[in-house]
Amino acid sequence: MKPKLEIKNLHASVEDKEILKGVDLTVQGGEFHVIMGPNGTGKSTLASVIMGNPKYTVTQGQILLNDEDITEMPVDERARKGLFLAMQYPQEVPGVTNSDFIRTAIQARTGQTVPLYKFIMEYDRAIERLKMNSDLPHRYLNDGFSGGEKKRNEILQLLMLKPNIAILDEIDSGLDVDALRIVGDAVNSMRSETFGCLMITHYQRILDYIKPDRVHVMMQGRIVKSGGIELIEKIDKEGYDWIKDELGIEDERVIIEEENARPSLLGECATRKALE
Amino acid sequence: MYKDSQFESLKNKQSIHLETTQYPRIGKIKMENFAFDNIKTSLVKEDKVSELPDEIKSKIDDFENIIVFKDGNIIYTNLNENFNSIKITSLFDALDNNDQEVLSLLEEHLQTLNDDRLVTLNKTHLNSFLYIKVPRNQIIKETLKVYILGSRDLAHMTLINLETNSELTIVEHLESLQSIRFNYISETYVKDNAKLNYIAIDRLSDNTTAFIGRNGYVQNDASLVYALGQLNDGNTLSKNHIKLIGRNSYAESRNVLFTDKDNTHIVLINMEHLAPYSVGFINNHGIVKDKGYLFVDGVGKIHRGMNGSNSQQSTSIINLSDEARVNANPYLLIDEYDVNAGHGAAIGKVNEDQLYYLMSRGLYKRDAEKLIIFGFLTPILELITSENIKTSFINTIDKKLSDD
Repeated sequence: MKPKLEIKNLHASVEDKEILKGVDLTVQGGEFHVIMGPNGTGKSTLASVIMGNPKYTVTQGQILLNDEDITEMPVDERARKGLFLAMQYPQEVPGVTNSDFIRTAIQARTGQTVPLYKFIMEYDRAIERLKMNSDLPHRYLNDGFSGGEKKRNEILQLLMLKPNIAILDEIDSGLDVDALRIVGDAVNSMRSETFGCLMITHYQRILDYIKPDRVHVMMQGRIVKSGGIELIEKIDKEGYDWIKDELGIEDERVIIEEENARPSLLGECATRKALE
Repeated sequence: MYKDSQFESLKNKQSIHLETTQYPRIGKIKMENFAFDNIKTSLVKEDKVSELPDEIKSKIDDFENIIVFKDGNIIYTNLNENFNSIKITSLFDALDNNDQEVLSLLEEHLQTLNDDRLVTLNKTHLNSFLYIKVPRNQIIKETLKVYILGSRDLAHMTLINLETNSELTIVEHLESLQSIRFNYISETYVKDNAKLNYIAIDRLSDNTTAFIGRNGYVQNDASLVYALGQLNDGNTLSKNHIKLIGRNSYAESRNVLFTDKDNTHIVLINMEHLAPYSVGFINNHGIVKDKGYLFVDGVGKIHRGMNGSNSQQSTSIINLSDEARVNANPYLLIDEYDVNAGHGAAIGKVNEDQLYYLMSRGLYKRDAEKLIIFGFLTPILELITSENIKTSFINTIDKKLSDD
């Protein structure tokens, strides 16, 4: 059966501030969608809300996975149902090795123990495909990884977990050209009727490697324009202003980043902070 | 000629000293509630066995290179020829063989008066004694595993002597076969350029009240690494004191502390720099659960004139329950300018962002939490060289985490 992710009139907020203001979108098996748009328009929030990040509250609308309402489902259950999010900022988890983690995840997803030999073979092949170091299984999860290594590790997990629907949140940022190609090839290898993909990016470069079927533009917490691959070319040449003009809006953002709001770090001298 | 009666009279002298000694004062904790004074010990001789009874076997994780020490008797040994050069003696062996080397050390120990009531209690009631000596230049590559078991109240002392240039790794298990009172001290001497890895796994049963005092003395260029796994099911006072008495001496105290149910665990760690260029690290990883109360005091003390010394300590504790309590105090007492020192303590819940990340790959919350917690304990787990013991250690924690 073709997997299907449906988002209907989705509204979501964080700390009482509404960020998503009615998103409608359907992604099916065999389809690659891309959501583009400038910073601060709610793209990453959409990815987090679909995955079920507890920081966000859905105030209206529905998320359906294969016709089942998952709007209220906890994140782990969504993952076991075949949803995957490659994160923009993957967490570092010292002390937990990549291989222990991924093996536990596969077991949770399939409900079966994975034969060790088969797992190692498959893991090694995926590591080689992404041109990562062969010591990766024994290293701690993302601990001390460079930005690019973390992104590749997300795609490695994608290959190993074989989800039905994957969301790739700015998987291209921080990757050099060679890495983009490697990651692009890996994602393309997943293409099939049983796999649907939603990419989020504000660069066009990754789209040279992964060709989307549908292109969406997000502004002010909504999808404001959808189209085919020709939309990318237009944005590439003309930017986003023409869309803003069409819609008659000046500020496309819903998230206004506070400037210089550097948080205090543990171990920072409290007195010095107070004096600043 | 040394007699049992002489031994008894030394112990009696200590009992007079009980009238003037006090419990250590620790926060607002009433030490009297631990009722350490109720200990009643007796000297009972047991024969060696060729096959361990099942009750004891179930406590043992690794049967290679072990000594089983029960109620003051070495009841079982299985050591290969690499351990031939080590001297391992019990109180009964020393008395039977009139072993002057050991008896005079014991006599010296029993004659010394100590201000700490718990140590005085240990000396007054001493009914279990183990002596381990590694002679000069002997390097033992394999790990010595010592199981100290009690089926009745125990006042035990282990004396470890590593002579110059020697090396040893020892894993010591404390286990109780019944609900008992357990008063344990160990005195460890690491002489010049010697190296000791001392892994202590305390897994005393429910209703066993324990005082555990471990003292280490580290001489010139010597190294002592203590790794303590404190997983007791009963109330415990654990007092660890390392004295860096030689130049360029090095010591680590790495501790995993698990406090659950309604237990109180008090852990005091004292790293005392008594020589220049001495290096001492304290590293505590604690987990509290249910209604447990964990009190951790770490002290790094550099005395005047001990220049070039380095004293570092860190404590991090994960609190898994709303009803558990934690008190962590990282102290630095420094009386010298030319030193390096640092300290810090952090208490918190399991990191929510890490938990979300693991769960976003389908891991159940409980499995994700366990992975994070074992990851947190990795710096200590990696010190345990025996795979069997490590597995058993992990299983004990796993079970504690799963118990509701």
